[in-house]
Amino acid sequence: MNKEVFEILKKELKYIALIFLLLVITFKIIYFKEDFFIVLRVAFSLFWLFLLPGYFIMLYWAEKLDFAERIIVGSGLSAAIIGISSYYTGLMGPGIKHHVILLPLLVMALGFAAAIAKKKG
Amino acid sequence: MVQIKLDIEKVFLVVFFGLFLLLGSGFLFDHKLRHDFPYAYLASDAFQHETRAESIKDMGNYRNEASYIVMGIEGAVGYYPPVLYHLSVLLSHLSGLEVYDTIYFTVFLFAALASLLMYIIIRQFSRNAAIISLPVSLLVFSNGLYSGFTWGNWPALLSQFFLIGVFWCTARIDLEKSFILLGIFLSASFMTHTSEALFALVYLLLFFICSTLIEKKFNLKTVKSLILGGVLFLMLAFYYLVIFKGVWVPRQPFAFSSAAVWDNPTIYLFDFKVLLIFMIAGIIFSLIFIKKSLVPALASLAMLLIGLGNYYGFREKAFQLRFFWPIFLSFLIGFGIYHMLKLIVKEWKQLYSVIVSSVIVLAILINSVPFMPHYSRLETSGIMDPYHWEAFKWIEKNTDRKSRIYFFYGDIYDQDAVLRSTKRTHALVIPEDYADAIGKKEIRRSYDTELPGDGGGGAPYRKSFFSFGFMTEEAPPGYLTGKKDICTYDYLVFDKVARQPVFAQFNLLMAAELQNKGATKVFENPVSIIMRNNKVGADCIEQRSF
Repeated sequence: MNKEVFEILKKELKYIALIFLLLVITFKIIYFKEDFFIVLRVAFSLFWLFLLPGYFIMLYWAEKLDFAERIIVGSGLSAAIIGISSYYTGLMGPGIKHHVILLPLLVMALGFAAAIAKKKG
Repeated sequence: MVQIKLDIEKVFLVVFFGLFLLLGSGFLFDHKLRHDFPYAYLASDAFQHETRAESIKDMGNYRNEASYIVMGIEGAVGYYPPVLYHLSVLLSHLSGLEVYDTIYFTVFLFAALASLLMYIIIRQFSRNAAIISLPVSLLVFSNGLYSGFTWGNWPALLSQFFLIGVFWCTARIDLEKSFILLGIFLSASFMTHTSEALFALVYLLLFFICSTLIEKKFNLKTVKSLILGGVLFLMLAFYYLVIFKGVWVPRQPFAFSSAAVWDNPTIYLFDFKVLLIFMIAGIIFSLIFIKKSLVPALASLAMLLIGLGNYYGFREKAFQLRFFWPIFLSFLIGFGIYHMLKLIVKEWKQLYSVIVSSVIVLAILINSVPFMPHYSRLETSGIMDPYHWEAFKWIEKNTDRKSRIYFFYGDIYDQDAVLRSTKRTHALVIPEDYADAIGKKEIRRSYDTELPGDGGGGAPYRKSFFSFGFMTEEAPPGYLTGKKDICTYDYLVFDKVARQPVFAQFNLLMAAELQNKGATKVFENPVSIIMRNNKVGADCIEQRSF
């Protein structure tokens, strides 16, 4: 395992946790009539589907792009990848409710593996 | 010092993100994420998308269209670009919210991200211009454009986010393996709403020409990235490309024609008012600095020209692109303001940009500021109400899947995609014929009727992998529209209230007449009655004058 990638992860996962906290607070302010646990669950869902997979995909370009750019672009990229792959996975068989766990995990793993491979290569 | 500057920027971005969502969806959603029925839906298209996503959630995939979407026809191939639907279903499964909430929320979320992504593109060229440009994005919620959200132009809006992703890829074309990013964003745009992907191709061609002219050489690396990105796009989108070519191209062939106006609310250049002056200044300055500002300038100018394409051939597709004009054109406006101010203030600091940006936010929000386009606050529950929703859900949960439902006159049924919420094959009386019966004081058994549904794709089926037939074209004459015998339907739905009370009174009379001949009232609430026809195909109503 590449130490450099883990150093980046160690540093930036703190920022990610901070973003999660900010997202929950922001949502609770905007949707103040909503139950807190719904807000929490929606924020977690957005993290799981878009932000975390996006972050891991963009790790490959961590040297060239700052954290904010990677998070914003990565979230969009994750939406693109997961939206497209969910369509095809559904056509091939596994129902969409199974994609919820499977696809983001797969995208995160691929992103992480690509970043490690780049450092090694 | 650098650290402090970065923190100010991030705080600014977080505040803007929150403000964008508050102005766009906070007020509109009544500050809730979860609603009891499709909330703030203002047109049929919104229901069209919501019901299709809901059907995908039910089926687990988008291999086929649900029969209640395509006029009761079973086995039609799923033909609409699928990405938005899949994202909203995934979010629904994970968050526990209903699909009608997640699909709407997804569109607002990615509109906010679109503003931030445009900011990132502009920032690469000028951080000050980016900060000043950002608040212009809030005008996507101005009077003429908010309908893009509320009327359900959702796939176009999400696809425009991915289009900005394509712009970003060209700004970072020098990144190692940038073609992967390009191919993915281009595919997502195509598989969300195809016309934006075609505009992306126009942009990429312009980018290639302009970058070659500016660099005065053929940049092989750029060419390689563009070609590989294109190849990846073809691979990722191949399956849906076949559907697009086999269904959309023959069913709705695009013919170039001009249209000065659109039958939907939209924005025209003069609606930017004083910002138009800054936009013109921005065009001039960005052309002066074109070597450095190529991507934001080219993206803005290309979207300006394509958005004006209604005058030279792009018809409604050009108007749809204008939903994001405030985001696309924010660079020109922000850059114009920045450079005009720099003519006065020589030593420009980032703090000044934040102040100018805040002033623009206030000018957009405060309606009394003259010569400015403004934010248009919207608070409405939309065309759906809890009672109709209760009736639709009763039908979904209490009737056989094969049941056929007949809807008599209801005020909201002219937005006919609402009826797909029943998840049953449905027919709708044509109001003119119903009014004719009322005028002639006749209780009839047959009325002019339509089978509402998504007929644009023709209910396609596969003849082979590459070839499609269309079941609507092969259906017997009179299947989709014509006189229908109401006695052949399993359930009949009547609204008890209407803007014109005579319709409601006649509805009640019809329900009573059915009951006299053996139909059963199975559901009633303050606005709707549902009758079960116990003699399907037999004489269920006495035809007479009254």
